Amino acid sequence: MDDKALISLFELFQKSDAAEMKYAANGTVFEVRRKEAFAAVSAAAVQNPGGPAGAGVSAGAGVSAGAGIHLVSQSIPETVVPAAHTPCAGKAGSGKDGAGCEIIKSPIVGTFYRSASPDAPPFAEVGKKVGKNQKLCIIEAMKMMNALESEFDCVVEKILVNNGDLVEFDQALFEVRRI
Amino acid sequence: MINRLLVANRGEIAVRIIRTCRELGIDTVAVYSTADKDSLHVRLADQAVCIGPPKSAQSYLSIPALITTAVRTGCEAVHPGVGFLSENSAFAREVRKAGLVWIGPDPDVIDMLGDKVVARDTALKYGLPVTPGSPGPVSSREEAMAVVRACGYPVIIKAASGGGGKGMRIVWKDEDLEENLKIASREAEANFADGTVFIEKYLQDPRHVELQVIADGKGGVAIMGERDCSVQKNHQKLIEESPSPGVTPGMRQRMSEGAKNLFGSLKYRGAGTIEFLVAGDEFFFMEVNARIQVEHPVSEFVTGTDLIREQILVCCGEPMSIDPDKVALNGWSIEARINALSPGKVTRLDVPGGPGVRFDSFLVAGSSVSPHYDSMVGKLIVWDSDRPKALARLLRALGELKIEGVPVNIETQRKILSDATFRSGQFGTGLYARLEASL
Repeated sequence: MDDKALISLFELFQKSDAAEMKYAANGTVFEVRRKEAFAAVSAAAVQNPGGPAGAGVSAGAGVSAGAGIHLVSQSIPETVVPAAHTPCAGKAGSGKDGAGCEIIKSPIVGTFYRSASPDAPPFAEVGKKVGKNQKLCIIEAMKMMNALESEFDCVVEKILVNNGDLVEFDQALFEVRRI
Repeated sequence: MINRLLVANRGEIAVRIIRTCRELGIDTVAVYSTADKDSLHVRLADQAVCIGPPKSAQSYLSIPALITTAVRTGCEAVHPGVGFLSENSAFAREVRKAGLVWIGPDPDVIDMLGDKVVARDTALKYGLPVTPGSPGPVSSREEAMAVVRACGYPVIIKAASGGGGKGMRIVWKDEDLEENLKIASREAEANFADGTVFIEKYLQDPRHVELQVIADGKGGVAIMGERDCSVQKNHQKLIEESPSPGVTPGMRQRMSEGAKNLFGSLKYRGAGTIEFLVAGDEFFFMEVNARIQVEHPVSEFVTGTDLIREQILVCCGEPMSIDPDKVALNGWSIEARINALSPGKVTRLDVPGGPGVRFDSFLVAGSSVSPHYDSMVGKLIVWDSDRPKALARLLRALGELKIEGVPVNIETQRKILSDATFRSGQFGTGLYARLEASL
């Protein structure tokens, strides 16, 4: 993609009301987001104890600029809601152990399901790999099954909630390691 | 009776509802956005669930988030509070569809009262006067003259599709009628692509008076006195009092009879307010608010009731504890709304006290006032045996109220309450605009 195309894409985004835009063609991915897209991330970062809120906000936003989690509603497949994910508290930047550790949070309030049906295998297991665009879980709200997909390749380190739990907005669901 | 209730709101009204529920032995589930994580309603409720980001559309206005939370936390009822989804019939229907009790009137009644034309016709049917005027569009001088002869000058010509003052002309005498009719129609055509106009009696500086109603859904209607809400800045109420200095016992009786007929015939359930414009000793129906209102505490003071309790009881099918025939108004109550002038964090909060003083607020020291929500941060309400004493008490209490870190309108409220016209009780909705320069 040449500079001219890049600039025209950027101008198109600036003129629109969209909070984020993703352009992908011929192996090039161009993704921009307004600060509104980070509202959930910022709020989550502020909750982190230690360090001024301002620093937390910028760290959260910086990390999520590259990739995110997509919430795909199964009954309306084109609905995509970006979810919050933040570096693991206390581990980020602390050397080999913390590298790539991310907390994936719930983008809505609803019932957490690890599998598509009670007798189906879970989407994600501790120690197993979850590829980009693969389902991590389902969150049900008012009989709408919303699939949460990972937007990057990762290994699930911990599952922080139980199957069938009511999960709140912004609640930590998975601890994963980017690969 | 129910055991657990979801409070689908935030701020002081959420706190208010939680307080009554605790006294009734009902567990409460609070909902909050990430901006309200440390808010008082979250701390006071038995359980709190984060339902979304700061933007109301994704949190306090999200029907799926609210219904999911109510069902999953085992709630049996939903109280919508004021604002947000409180008059949203679609939400009321979803609440019922989920098998929960809606603390408000029937969704069909909400819809009916929300349609201005239907509401006006219904009010007329039950003997409540509406602002006199033309029954339909007016296009000729002859038609206009007929309306004027019926209701008298001054009259206001309004665009049927209008709003915002465009296409509106006030006429005081015959000579100006025809010309203004043409101008108004041309303005209406230019602004709204519809030259249709109608004529109404023009009320000069009317009072805003409303009746508090509690109804049991079976035709039983208790009228809990009136409130005068004439002190308004751009239609936003600032000071409310009960009783109204401009309502005579005769007017009160006529208003109440009409309201009883209207609410009774609708089999209205819960708390509601019927609003009137008052000019001299005449009153005209404006609209019905099918919910509890911000200014309900002044009615609680003069009637000695807990309106939220009565609202919950009747909506849960329990009898109200008020005898509709024995509602007595005692003394005088005034409320001053405390509004934040900009967002911020409260660094100091001194709450006034003493006899007859009540401060309803979600503020505590350290609270944040978020830019995402309404600017009202509290309500200071007082009661005393008469208006002069209540005014003295409110000024005394306002003097004790100290809020630092967030600029608020305490000084403006003190000036209005000290104004000679306000103190005389002889004023209408134009008072604030006339005082504004000196505030």
